[in-house]
Amino acid sequence: MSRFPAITLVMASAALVIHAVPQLQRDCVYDRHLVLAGQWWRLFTAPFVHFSVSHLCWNLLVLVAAGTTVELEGYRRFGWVALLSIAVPGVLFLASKPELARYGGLSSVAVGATAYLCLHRAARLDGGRWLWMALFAVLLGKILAESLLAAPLFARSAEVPFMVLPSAHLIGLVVATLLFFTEKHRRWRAKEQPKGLTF
Amino acid sequence: MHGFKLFARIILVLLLAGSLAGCAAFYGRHRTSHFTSSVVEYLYQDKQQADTPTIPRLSLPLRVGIAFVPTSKNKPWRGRLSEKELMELMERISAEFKNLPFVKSIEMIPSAYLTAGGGFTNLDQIRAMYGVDVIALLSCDQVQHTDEGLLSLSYWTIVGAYLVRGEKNDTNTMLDAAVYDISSRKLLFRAPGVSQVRGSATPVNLSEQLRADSVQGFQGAADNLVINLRDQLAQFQVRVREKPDAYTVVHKPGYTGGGSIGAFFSLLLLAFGAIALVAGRRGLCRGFRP
Repeated sequence: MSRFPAITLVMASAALVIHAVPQLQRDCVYDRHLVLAGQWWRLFTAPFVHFSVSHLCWNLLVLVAAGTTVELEGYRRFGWVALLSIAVPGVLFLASKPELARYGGLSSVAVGATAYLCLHRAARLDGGRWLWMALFAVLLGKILAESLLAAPLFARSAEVPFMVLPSAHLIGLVVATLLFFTEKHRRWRAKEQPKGLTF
Repeated sequence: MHGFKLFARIILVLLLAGSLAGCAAFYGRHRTSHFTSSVVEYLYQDKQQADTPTIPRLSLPLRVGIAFVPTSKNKPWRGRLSEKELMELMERISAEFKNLPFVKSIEMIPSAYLTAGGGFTNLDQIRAMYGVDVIALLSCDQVQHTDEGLLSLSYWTIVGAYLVRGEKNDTNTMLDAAVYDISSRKLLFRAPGVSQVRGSATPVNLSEQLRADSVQGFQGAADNLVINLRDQLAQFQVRVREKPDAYTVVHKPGYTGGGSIGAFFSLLLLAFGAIALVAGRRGLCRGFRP
């Protein structure tokens, strides 16, 4: 069966279209005040809004590279990784960050896709698995360091016209890790289960 | 009888001379009006030495104020533009700030709140009243020239003065936006906007046409200012990024947050991933077991 990176391309296209139409940006961005006023869809459309061209480009670069690889290699739960990485940050920020007025950016999905790829590749017994583990460790280390320091590790705070939220990245990474291990756990259980005892 | 004829001739000659002189006065007149307001005059009037700016501390998201500085010698703006027209111009310019993610709100300050030569003391009062961190001060310079063309010869007919547009108007306008951080007294950036309006009028509706040209001139300059403001804002963001010592950026409640991987880490991930993919295909790390 030929594979096509449909999910990644749909997400990338949506981000590009929204960035190109200012009215769509205004209608889709996470705006705490408007979400509380009933525009709940903003919780799920906010990741597709970007605040500058460089913000869009770097996020899309990682997402397209990681997402395309994941989809071409056929890892089945990528759809869930994408869906939860899109939906969870907005809901959590609404519940836990009342000081955050606006939010946007696809990096939670990009980080989720990268982490999911790293874990699947690391689980394979071919060459390069230790490099994938190292990449996952770098990703985790960077997010934890940023969360503890409450500042971006590589970019200066003035590099982007907003505050970088490491918690969004952490959500992507946690979602990818949980989905990977539940998938593996199910497979391991299926392998361990004696054939005659299935109910 | 002879005396009466002589008197009538003298009156006729005087009338003819008077009308010719009137026509000569009609043709070739040149009038100029100049209207100006200055940021320097507003901020530093009566000051021998300007305040020394300190390092601006930009607390994001910013609350931005926008106001027209009072005109020179305390001439009211109302003579040239009404408060409604001033607000419309400010609305047009402030739209450029509204879409910026690091701007929380825009306050349009009515001209009555700024006193001539008020300086930073006046701006401190406005900051206290409106809670703005940064203010865009708009100043202007408008010159209107009126000349009479050949068509003004038709004014001899009286009817021509009502129907023929023999008055040639030329309105040159410059609007300037200087954006200041109030607490540090630092000019963050500035952007100019210019326009030129050419028109014509009959002598009867000349003043009305000049007012319309004046408003059109301000609107054209505001449009041009918006374009330049866009460039200056982009350059200012680059300056803030490149000179972290010159600007301190902090975040406060109400900020905009984003998930951003950033240029350096994106490239690091891609490079690392590419190496890992190639290593996987060639089996480079297969023998490695820690």
